[in-house]
Amino acid sequence: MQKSTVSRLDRRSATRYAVNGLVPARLSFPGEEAIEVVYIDVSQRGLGILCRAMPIAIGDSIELAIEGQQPIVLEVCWARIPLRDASSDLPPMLRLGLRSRSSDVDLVQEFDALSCLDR
Amino acid sequence: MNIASLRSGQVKVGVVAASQIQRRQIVDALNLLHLQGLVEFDSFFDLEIAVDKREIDWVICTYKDEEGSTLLQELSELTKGGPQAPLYIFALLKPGEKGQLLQLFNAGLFGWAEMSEAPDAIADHFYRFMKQLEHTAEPHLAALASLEPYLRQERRWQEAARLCEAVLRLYPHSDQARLLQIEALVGLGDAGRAEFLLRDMELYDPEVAKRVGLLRESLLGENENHHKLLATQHAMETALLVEPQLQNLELLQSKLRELGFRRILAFTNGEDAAKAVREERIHFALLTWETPGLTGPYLLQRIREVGQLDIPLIVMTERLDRADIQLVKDMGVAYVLKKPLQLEQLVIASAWAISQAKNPTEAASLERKILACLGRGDRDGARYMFQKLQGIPTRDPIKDKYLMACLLYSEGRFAPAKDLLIEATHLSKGDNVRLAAMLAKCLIRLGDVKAGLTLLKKVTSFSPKNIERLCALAEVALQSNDLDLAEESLIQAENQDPNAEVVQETKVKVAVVSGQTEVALDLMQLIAEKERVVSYMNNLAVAYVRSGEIDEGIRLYEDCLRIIPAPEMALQAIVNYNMSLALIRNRDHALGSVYLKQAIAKGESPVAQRAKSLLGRIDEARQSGTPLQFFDEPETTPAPLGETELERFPLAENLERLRRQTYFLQGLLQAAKLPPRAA
Repeated sequence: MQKSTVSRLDRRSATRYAVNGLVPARLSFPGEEAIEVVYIDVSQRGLGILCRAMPIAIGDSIELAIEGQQPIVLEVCWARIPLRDASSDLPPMLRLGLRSRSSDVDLVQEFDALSCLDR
Repeated sequence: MNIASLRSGQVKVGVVAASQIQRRQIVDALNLLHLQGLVEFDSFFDLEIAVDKREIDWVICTYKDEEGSTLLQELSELTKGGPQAPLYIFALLKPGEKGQLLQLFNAGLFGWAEMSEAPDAIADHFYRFMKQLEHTAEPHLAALASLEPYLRQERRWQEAARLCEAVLRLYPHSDQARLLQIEALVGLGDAGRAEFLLRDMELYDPEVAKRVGLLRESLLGENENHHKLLATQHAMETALLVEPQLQNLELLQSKLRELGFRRILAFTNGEDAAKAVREERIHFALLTWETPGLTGPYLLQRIREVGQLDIPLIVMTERLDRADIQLVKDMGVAYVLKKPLQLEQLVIASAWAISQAKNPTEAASLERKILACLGRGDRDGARYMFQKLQGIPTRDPIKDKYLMACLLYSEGRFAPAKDLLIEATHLSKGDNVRLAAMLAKCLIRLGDVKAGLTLLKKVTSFSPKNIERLCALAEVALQSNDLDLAEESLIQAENQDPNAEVVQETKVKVAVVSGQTEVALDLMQLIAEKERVVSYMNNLAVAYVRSGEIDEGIRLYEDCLRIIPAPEMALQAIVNYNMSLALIRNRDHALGSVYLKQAIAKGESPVAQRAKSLLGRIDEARQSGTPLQFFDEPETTPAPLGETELERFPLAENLERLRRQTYFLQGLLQAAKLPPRAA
């Protein structure tokens, strides 16, 4: 079945920290190529990114692979279309909210250890 | 909450209607949808008993029951005693009953549709409502969606605007409420605010894209078929591009054109780029960190140095060391891209940075905007952005305190700024360089130069590539009579970027304080913004005069006059006036009068009136043979005159460096009370 971009209300509540610096990590659908993303912000269990529009659905899994560590499984919990008025020459984009399924994960700590959080 | 749960029978649905026939019609409709667990009631009273026993979760009803009681009365009964377990009520209303809708929703109604005799029409209404609910994470928003067509149809804009404001307080990201608010504002004739809010909607749910498009077309005159390129849309014309590889340079140029930049200043080395930045206003910069001539960290600081504070900046690099990372944060870089570059990532990051620079919606973008506003002295702009930031509930509390402290500092409220920074430092884990740097500034302004200096030393060890901070350390060291530290910091800054203006200016200051006036005058020739140094020398002369070192003060004033560019008449007048005050204080009324006349002869200036008045008083005193007493007995003088600090007449408006000179002056005045420096 064709997947569609389904949005859900953005219900972020934990403190978010801006990502600033080089992020030695990559995001990909399990078993697929890395997705080119721009990291926007991080909360304890959430990650905000910007990427090109793609068939994606709420609940889809995306893996965050930080160099030298086990991948962290995140799920898409909301999606929005930014920059709608931009030129048609620009690739259509998606602003995605990803969330860790595991309560043990602390993404703020992970990104802070990589020195790429603006705190 | 979804239709499946109603079909499974887990959720019980109560049905109440004004007649048995209507009740039958509703039940038939719900049967069409295969809903289980239906329970029929003759009256709202019977329903209420079942609700109290938690036997009913959903209610589908008409406005009146068979006994003539109304839904409004029932809702009032149900909500007595505060919030209960959730009860979802969907009403089917006749046209004449729609007037009660606002009160019904206010009392807790969840959804509504027009009553129909045809069960399939009722089923259709209810099914659509349930589907809408499935897509909404918050029930309040489903209720709003249900009420919205009525508000629009009846043009109840006042109520719609009030309602949306309340909903947006709870759900600031609700596109639906925002769009209705915009329409309501248009309906109320406030097109300006509506346009502003619409432009502010940078991110929205794909489902409302069409509606946003229509609103944009009607309100902003935008047309789907006439897209403007992103940079053009945001009135950004010129981009700076620095990339050492020629092949990459061309590719990146084409990408920047695609984004809408009409002029691209492309360079393969940093030195040429720095020259261009001095001469041209740029709107966006894409810089390779490892650039020949002047590397990324220093080019970045040159861009900020010339006052291009809030242009979006993207850095491309293979690696960043610890000092680089701190600099990237200090200079408000929008994004760092890893080399080798992925073009798609570059385009996304650039588009994002451009759009956020113009309409910041993210906390980090708002923060950059606040600091840029403060950097150019736009306190109102900074306050506005700060208020906008308060609308983001997930903002970083430490940053929040830091930004508030920056605002307070800009207003001269150093003590509360210091307190906030100390609180933030306690909250912060590890070393936070920006907090410490700001705290140091506050301490210095509060007169605790020693503590400020210690903190600033620590800060510069964490961010050794921040030239402006090294120069600030040199200046504060001068205040504390620590000439060795001043020179050491200056050398450290000079080794990194000897041609940076802030380094040149600090060299002059160090030369002036260490008594090498001739050297200072020679160095002055290399400085483009002479006004800042003039202002510094003037303030220093004022401080010397106030501390009794009149000759040194006069010498500095004379040097000052020598370097003021000829067309700067008002500036010359200020220095002339201050110099005359110093001479009059030293009882040299004759020479003082000469400089006062010179100040007056310069024409319109901030001191012209005061110079005339003082000259008149000197003449009066001379003619009457009485001494001019205003210095010795200021309390008898109705309007005591003091030296005019250039701080009060900013030469280069609101520059951070100009503000720093105030604390320099304070420190110097304190230093004057200390024992003289050892030879």
